Amino acid sequence: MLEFMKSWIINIVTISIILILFEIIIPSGKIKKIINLISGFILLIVIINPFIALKNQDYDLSRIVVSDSLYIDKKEIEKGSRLLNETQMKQIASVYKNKLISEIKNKAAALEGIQVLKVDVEINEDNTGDSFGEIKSVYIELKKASEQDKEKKAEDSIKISPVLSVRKVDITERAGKQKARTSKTSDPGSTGLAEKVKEDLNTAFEIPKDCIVVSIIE
Amino acid sequence: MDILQIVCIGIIAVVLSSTIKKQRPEIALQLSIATGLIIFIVVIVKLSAVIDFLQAFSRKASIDSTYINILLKIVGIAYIAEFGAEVCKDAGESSIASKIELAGKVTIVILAVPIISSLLDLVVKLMP
Repeated sequence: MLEFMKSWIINIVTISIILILFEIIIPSGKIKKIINLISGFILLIVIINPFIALKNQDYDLSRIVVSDSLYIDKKEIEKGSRLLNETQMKQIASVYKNKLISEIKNKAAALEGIQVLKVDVEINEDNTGDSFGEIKSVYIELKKASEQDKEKKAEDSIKISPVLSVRKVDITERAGKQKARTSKTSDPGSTGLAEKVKEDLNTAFEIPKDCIVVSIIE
Repeated sequence: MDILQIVCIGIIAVVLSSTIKKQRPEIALQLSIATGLIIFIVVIVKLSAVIDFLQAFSRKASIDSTYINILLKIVGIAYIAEFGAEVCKDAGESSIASKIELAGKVTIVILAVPIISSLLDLVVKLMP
């Protein structure tokens, strides 16, 4: 019993001195309060610890510390990997979407008599389900290619066209024309063209025709 | 005589900083950060001797080294967080300084979780 008391008192005195030394060297800021609290906890553990030995119970502090640290690390890694997974899925969806847009653009541009202005694709981005990446809808904005454009296209494939000289442009007049030109039309020719594009995309990508929205600007 | 050197470095930095503060305030800030780093490194090198002594002391008294290791980690985090916060305060960014302090506190509490849980465990075991 005397031996136990002796070691207990030595332990308490030593840890008290160490804690006082730590208190001297810790920076005097707002964190000091928290460090003092933890020092108090450590002193309490040192005071209580020998009584556990008296009760003949096995107690290993380092085991608890390791298991707690492992638990915290495990949680952190789990969260990090989940975040990484989400980011990866978003990136995959974005790359897939971009690739799909460029494929649709190429496919539509291959058709004669049209010029593709804009393509937008809406896909299922919910990576938990089986239908991840399923195309929900496709929006295509087309423009009927004029004879001049067609000729130019043909010429471009052979030689580089010379640069036109700069001339004065009446902005107000042009803006008015532009406004008039961008109005959507629904004449039979355009409807047929839209149907053709839909048919083409349906056979190439197996996208249902109802999901394809084609708007043609004259 | 190390303290003399540190004080001299500090005073020279203060004089230089106050001289150029009006013309080039950004250089003055960089000077203060550099001086802080130099003093911090000099002090940390000296502190390592004290830490070695404390560890040897605890080993002699057969105190579990886990306590000392956790305390040392906490002191290190406190030093780094305080240094960063002081630099931010010097630059006039007290909101960033308070965020750094918050980060330091959170990290210290995470380190202290095993101590708190072991204390609770001890108390539960003591109960009849």
